[in-house]
Amino acid sequence: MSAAVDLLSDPDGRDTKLHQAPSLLTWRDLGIPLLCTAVVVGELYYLSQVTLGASQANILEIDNLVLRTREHVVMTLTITVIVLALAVPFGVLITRPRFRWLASPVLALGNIGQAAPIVGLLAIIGSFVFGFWPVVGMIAAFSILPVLRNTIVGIEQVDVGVKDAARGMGMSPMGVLMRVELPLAIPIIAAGTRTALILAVAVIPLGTDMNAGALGELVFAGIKLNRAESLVCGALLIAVLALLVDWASGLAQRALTPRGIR
Amino acid sequence: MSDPAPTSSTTTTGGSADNSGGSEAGGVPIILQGVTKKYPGTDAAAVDNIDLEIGAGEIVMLVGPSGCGKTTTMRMVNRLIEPTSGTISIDGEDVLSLNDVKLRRTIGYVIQQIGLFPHLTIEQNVAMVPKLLGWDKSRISTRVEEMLAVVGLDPHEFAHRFPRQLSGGQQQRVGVARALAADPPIMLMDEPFGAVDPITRTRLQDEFLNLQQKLRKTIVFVTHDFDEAVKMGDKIAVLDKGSRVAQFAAPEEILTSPADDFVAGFVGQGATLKRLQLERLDSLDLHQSSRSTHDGVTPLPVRSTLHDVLDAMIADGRDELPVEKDGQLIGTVTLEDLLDRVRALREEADGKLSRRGDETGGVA
Ligand SMILES: Nc1ncnc2c1ncn2[C@@H]1O[C@H](COP(=O)(O)OP(=O)(O)OP(=O)(O)O)[C@@H](O)[C@H]1O
Ligand SMILES: [Mg+2]
Repeated sequence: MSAAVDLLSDPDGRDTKLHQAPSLLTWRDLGIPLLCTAVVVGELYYLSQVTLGASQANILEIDNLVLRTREHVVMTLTITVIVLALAVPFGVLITRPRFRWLASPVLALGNIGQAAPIVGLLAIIGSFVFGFWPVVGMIAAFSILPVLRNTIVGIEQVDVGVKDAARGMGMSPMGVLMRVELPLAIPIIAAGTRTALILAVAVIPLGTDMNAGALGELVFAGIKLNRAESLVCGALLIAVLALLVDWASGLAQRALTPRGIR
Repeated sequence: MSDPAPTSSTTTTGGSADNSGGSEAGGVPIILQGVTKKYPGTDAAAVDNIDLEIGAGEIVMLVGPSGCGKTTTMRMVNRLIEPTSGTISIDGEDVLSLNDVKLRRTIGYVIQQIGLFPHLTIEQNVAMVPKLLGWDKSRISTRVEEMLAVVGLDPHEFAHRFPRQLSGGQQQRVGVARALAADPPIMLMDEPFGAVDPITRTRLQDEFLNLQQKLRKTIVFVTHDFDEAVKMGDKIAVLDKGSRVAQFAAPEEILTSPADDFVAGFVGQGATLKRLQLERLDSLDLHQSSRSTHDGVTPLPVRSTLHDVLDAMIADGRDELPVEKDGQLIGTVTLEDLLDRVRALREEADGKLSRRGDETGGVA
């Protein structure tokens, strides 16, 4: 028996680095936050040095910057929550046998939706409604598509043999979904969510005309006043936010992905 | 992993108690009657009106060409596929009347594609069915270690690995351990040893037969390797296209009297030699002779198969070899004895065949 076991053990020592889990955070992951901090500090220092005209002074006051940034973050988070709460369950539903026939029409519709120019939509709808929720709602509706598509694709790509084994050993359909399909779809769903989030951060400023606030205020004020300081400051903060959101969602994606398929 | 020592012996044997129904065999009978499966959009039925009776505690081997419906037949037993018509009963109960999810927890299934959960460790993979059945933690971890050892994987080395860190053959063995874990009375095994090397395969077969001697499960086992079928099977079902049962009989009978050309083709060359693998030296009357004539010749153990005996005779260039039991010489065996035995087997088979011919007017 022991000879046989020796014979069977891995000849090329594939297991040597197995038992220590790959660490989630490496030094390279600190690059983006450091860069972002540097940009923000630099910009704030610059603003403290230049003399701003009365029209811009209010806008570029630190309190206002914090407020607008917070509005932007809150909108982004709200959109994320709405998108995940709708797209994942709907995507799951579509992959169930009873609704599977819906998958291709929904994906096709999704692709059409993706192609519709969101700026135009915001402009049209923006002439009728104003405020936080219409903007959030519309961007969410738009961002749902990548998450929905990735949920469907993520679940459908799970190996048939694996699903079969799960069913064959006596997992209920719900058990197969929760223990097998969703865990294995997470990397792909997370990738879709990451795309949706960055899209949201970038599109939120376009809702400024609808009185939803956020960092777009700085940009559009800059355009209206024909002042570069405000425009550049807004643009920089939006870029920094987009980078940070991408960074954070990348980390989240890595952390949520089960170790066996990482 | 810790120290649930006192309970370990009971977990080994007690698992199938709730399904054993008091018989000696741990397994239960499976009966297929007129079972047909037609996949939607196909003309020919994948499984066409099959009848098969699998006794409690039996290993039935399904062999047949690729695409003949072995997997389909098997998957109808645990209702992964619903038959188009016909009935399947397990222990007298129509499977269609049972809750499918609960039914599957009492049937170990080794799928052809292995299908380990890539996101779970080997330990978690093997523990899955016991977990679904609500076993407590210490019982599960004892059981997992035990099962990994049965399939020849060192628990300390493999328990915490992920499937992708195992070779194909190792994964396949985990698949077998996983199916055995909850000690189900029935096992469906779809080419479970297809990806392992011949040495490991032989060891796994022996290990499995040993285990089966204790557990007496009812096992349906698909293989493409006829020698494996001969070695493992209490009975072999040779299937043709559409799962037509060409012959369903004990290995000895299939080897000595194949029902038709199709079966003969499947048995392949050397049926007589394969037949000798099923006979052991202790079935022969040995000759007594003086020791001195056999100096320098390694005696054969009395548990050797006649196939091994013949092999040794050819290798040594002798027509008589000594036989030992527990280190004591107990006699000799001659080439003439082997030929006599083959002749007797042939006559026995012919007798059976003509008797059956008298009764039923031909082989079905
Ligand atoms: N889901 C399906 N839909 C349609 N036809 C199928 C399906 N599954 C199997 N078949 C067909 O049914 C027949 C039997 O298939 P099955 O998988 O049972 O064969 P098998 O005997 O297990 O073959 P192998 O030895 O290659 O595993 C084949 O002709 C196959 O093409
Ligand atoms: Mg098959």
